[in-house]
Amino acid sequence: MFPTTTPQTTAEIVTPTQSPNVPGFVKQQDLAARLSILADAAKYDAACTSSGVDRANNKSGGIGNATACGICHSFASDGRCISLLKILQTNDCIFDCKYCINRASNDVPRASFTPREVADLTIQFYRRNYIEGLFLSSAVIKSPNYTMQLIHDSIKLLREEYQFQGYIHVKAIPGADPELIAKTGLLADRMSCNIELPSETSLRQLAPNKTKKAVLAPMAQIADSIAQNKQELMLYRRTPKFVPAGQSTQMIIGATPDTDHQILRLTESLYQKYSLKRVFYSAFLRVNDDSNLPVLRDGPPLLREHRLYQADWLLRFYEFKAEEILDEANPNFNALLDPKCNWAINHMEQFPVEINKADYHTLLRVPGIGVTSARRIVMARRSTALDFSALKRLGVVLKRAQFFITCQGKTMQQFPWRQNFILSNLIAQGGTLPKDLCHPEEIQPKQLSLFDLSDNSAAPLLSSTPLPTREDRLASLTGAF
Amino acid sequence: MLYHYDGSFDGLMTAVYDAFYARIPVSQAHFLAPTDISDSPETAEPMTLWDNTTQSTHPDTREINIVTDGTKAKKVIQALISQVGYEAYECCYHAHLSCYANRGDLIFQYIKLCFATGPKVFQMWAHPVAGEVMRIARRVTRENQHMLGFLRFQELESGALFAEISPTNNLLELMAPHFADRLPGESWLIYDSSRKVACVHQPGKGVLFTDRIPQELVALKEHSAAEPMYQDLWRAFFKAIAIAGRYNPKCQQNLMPKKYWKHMTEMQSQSTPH
Repeated sequence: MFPTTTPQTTAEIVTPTQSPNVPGFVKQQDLAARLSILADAAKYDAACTSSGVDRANNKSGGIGNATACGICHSFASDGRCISLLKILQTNDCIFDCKYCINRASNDVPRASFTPREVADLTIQFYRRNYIEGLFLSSAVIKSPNYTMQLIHDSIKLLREEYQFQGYIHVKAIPGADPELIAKTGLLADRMSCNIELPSETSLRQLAPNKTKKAVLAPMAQIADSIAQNKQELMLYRRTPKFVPAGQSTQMIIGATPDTDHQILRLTESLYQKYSLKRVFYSAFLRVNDDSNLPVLRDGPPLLREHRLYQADWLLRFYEFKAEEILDEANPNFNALLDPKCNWAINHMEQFPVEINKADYHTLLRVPGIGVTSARRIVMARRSTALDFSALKRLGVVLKRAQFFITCQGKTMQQFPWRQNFILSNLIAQGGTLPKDLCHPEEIQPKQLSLFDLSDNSAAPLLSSTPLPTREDRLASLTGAF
Repeated sequence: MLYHYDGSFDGLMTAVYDAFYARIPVSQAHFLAPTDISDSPETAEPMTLWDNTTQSTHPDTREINIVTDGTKAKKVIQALISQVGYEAYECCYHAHLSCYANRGDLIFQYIKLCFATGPKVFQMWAHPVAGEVMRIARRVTRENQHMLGFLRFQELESGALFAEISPTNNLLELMAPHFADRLPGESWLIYDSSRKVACVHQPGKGVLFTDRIPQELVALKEHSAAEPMYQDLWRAFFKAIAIAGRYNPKCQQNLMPKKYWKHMTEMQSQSTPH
């Protein structure tokens, strides 16, 4: 099997360069303390999926397999999924990015793992079914190449000596040698390179050590290598796979004045240019007291992050284009409505959609009908005409969809076909707004009293409050951001 | 007509075979496993769409004890797969693993419907019987997906791994192949404490299902020397990885229901003392 030495002696192992004389440096022997420090340092990296690769065990002394849908092993107290052992190789960084807790000018305890310690921890946690695999990132110690070599050694140990077949996600260090990245890619399932900030100006201001070129070069290299590997696999099935679960990236939301429109356009171009699997958004948390960083009175922009993820899903699964969701005239998301409802309200000429006749692409655009429901509708209506009770059984969210669909020519209830009526009902349901993200008083209807009361013909559920006009509806409500 | 079968899927298929060829109408055929009779109230939720009061109390109901016959069961399964599709067999199998006391009746109805309709039955999400069976099967697979993630092994003194679970549905048969592939070189045991059954794996020997588990193994398991250390490491990691600024226990409970917490290392305050 695999070596079962407890990772407490360090005499014979190659250790990363350490500075034991620097105050605050944790002694190598204290594994639990180091794990706490390095997990704490790694937690701001949002990516934690273990999906994308289906791999059975090699059945010759190996341990582990990978399931394509990924498995969530636990959920932390902030609600995020824990699927991988997410740690840094070291948090001893030479860079000084303003937003990062591990920046060189911060006085935080510094610690490192040896490659063997990383491998041993991973295997022992994996045996106990705590994790699906490893997520290994690192601060830049000594130089990008030195760090990348350390990461490569950890992964190599896991794959070759311990015969680990589970999931491995590594970060590519910006500025590292292409050869090192190529070598590591053959061992990992997913590689990612954080784009960090949405524009070059903000990158220059907040992360001066990371140039746009240094960040994008590994992404381009990985994208090209994946495409080339796919070609080679078609010719010869046993070609070693290069990053089979694809590439992803992450950017920080709220640290810079970039609009949602700019971020969304960047996301769309990243998907198109580098064929990324995922773009992750991380709400900015002010961990450092720096004049370059904004002060967020209401805490991290969680709602904005949530809207961006909703828009990201629209781009990937619902055949939307970035320009349809946001444009120059409306550069920011609507706080009260999710992007899909927002689009539907502003394009009422496309509705109502007849469930029994519309094609799949049109069904996808209806709020309350997701990808699964649309597929099921198309399947189910081949055998029988659908009515509203059947739609409910199929999993359509009728609370929202009822305003936009007809079944055999009839809507679910009689209601006035007016935008304000539908809008106010959608908002009143609150279903599009996650309850735990916003303070309740922020979404009370009484905030709408600032707007024009001219079009008050419909009788909505909020009878005590006036209705927004079309112009108001299109204006962004970004008070909370 | 009340069929008592032994609780296994093959037993149910044998009973279905007999009921089918005896041309028992759907409303009069009922199937009972040994576990269904003395059920606790939570698992005996009525899922039927017709009045189910005729079970074993009606004086005219004839009761038959079914002896599991592998050939009959195989015939039903093969017919299902070839005439309808592999999905139909999977659906019946998963529905059978569920906790509902009248799953046998529903599966019989579903099989009859499958043979009558053919492959189109998979599109009939809106149909009361077909949709219901598919939904029950989905509940089982969904809980299985959760359980695969939430199960926790503990290393015993002998080096073997021990896990305890208490799922609502009967998931051992679904979990065993996953772990047999994932940990082929390990000896492990998964114990279902609500049903008192377990599956045991030895390297090179495959998986064995048993209901004879020595109680001292469950009650007094001896951990290996390193086990408390790794449990504490995992707890430390679990605590460190959460972002305090995004604290959201409601969300955590939504995604990880409390019923799973009692067997999860990180949700317990300290290592189980041994």
